[in-house]
Amino acid sequence: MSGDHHMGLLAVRGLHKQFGGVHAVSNVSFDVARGTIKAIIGPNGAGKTTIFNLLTGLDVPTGGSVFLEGQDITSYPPYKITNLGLARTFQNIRIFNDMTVLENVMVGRHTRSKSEFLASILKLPWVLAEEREIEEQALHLLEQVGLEDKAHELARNLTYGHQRRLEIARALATQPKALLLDEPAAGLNTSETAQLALTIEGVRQSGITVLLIDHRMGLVMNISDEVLVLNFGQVIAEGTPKEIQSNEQVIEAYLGKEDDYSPHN
Amino acid sequence: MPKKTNLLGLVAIIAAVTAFGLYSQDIYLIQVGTYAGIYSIVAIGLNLLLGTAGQISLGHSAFFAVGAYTSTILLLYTPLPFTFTIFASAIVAGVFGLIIGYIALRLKGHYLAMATLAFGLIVYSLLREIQFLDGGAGHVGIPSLSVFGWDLSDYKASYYFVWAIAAVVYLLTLSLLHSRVGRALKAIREDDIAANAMGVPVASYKIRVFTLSAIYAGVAGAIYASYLGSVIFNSFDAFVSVNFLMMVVLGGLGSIPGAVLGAVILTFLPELGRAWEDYRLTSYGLLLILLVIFLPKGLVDLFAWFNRAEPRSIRPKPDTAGRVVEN
Repeated sequence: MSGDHHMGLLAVRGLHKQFGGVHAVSNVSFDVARGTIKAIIGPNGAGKTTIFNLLTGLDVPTGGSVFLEGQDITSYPPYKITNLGLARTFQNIRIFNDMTVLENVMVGRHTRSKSEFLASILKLPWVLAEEREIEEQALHLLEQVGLEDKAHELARNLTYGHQRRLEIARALATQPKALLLDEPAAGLNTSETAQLALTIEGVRQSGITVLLIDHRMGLVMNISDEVLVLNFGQVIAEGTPKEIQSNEQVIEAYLGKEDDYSPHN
Repeated sequence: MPKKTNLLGLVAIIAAVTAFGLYSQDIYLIQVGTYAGIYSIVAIGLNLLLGTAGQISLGHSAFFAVGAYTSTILLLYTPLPFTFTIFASAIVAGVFGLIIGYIALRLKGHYLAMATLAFGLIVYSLLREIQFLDGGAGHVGIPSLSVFGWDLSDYKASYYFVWAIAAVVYLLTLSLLHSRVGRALKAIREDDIAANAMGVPVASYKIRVFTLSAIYAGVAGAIYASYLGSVIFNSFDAFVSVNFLMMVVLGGLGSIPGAVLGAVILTFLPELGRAWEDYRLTSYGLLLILLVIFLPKGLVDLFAWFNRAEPRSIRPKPDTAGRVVEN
């Protein structure tokens, strides 16, 4: 971050989450500057996904605050946070299986469109116009992730890699200011991962800030501007990929003394 | 289900209803057909709730009852005409739906089923107690169906009127289904956490779809009371709710023509088989089991079999981890 006193697009302050006696996240603070790609890494169980859940309102923090463009969004319901500009994908893919690929992405447009029950039942003319617009935008996004020829297939019939891409397209459909990707490369082969890196780079170039969780160090170190390292729910290091790679605490957290942690590759 | 199939379904239903109305001179059969139309309205609404939004209700007989009693009481004790009371029924049933929907927010699956079942039982018991206080006879002498002073007491007039309402409800529901709201409801059914994270206000939508579904049942209840000419508490027991649910499941969850088909079959079947009345519950149970085993997607899936471009078996199937494996 630059040295000025402004917060980043996304600012996390003293975030805390306790599950029973377990401190899943303790006193985590960081900023994500607009237009950058920031990665959160750490061994399994370090609290990465919990942080995503706290940022997107799926879990309520036991302490601390989250700011989006300076606005306190802590404990907002997920749909409101999405509406304000944070969209996410899930570690265990959560697409709408029995809906078509196109419909999945169209759901992402929900927050940027407005026809409600009565207008939809009565099929008012502006509703039809809006519907066409939603479909066009969704098709455009499918093109962007290379799924346009699958538009009318059921989402459940897509391959794993395609489902991951669909999730990204669906999240982009919400027109986010920041996109949160939870292990987007998990289960992808090398060429799919390379493709993913291009997609993420493209997302950033379109002006969307990216916050990324992943275990693939190759991917993370290549595309990130900044890396945040967590261990046991706490920040143990933060810096550029170069700084992180030579940080002793990080190396120890990953390799350990008894070698009981191993990043999946 | 694609929009075209749904529209085709409506055309087929209108054709079948008209043909039946024109050719059948049997008053009794037309009457059964009229009840089938009334129940179709409930089934379309329940299907929206269960098939589209994935929220179960085992208490729909209560919304049906609320509609029936609201209209009945207004017709008997005020000078208001049916054209007005049917709207009153819709509103009162809708308010009940809103309250139940709000309570149901925190519940899912079995718990929601139990809660709605309890709601149905409470309304049933209240109606029973009130009726005993009232002398025990229920309400009789309800003026017959008429809209804007146009008398519909003729058996065929009632029949066409009921099915016209059912057709309108069908069309309105169809446009809802293929809209932003319909998609959001389906998304809630598929994964409500993901739906929420994609910007769908899940809680508010669940309440609203409960309300809408209750409104359908209320409208049907108002028509039912005026058509039958009397209401009595035991027409609204828990089995009626189960019956509504069966209609939707038999026809095919999520399919509007399926809901109508289910309603028609489950209205005619018991009437045609009056002699087997004693075996009704047993045969329903058997039917449900067979359905779940052989046609889990309901009767409409029979039609889909003929249209399937490719045989099922070559489609990739999700493995236990929910990942899709290519074969």
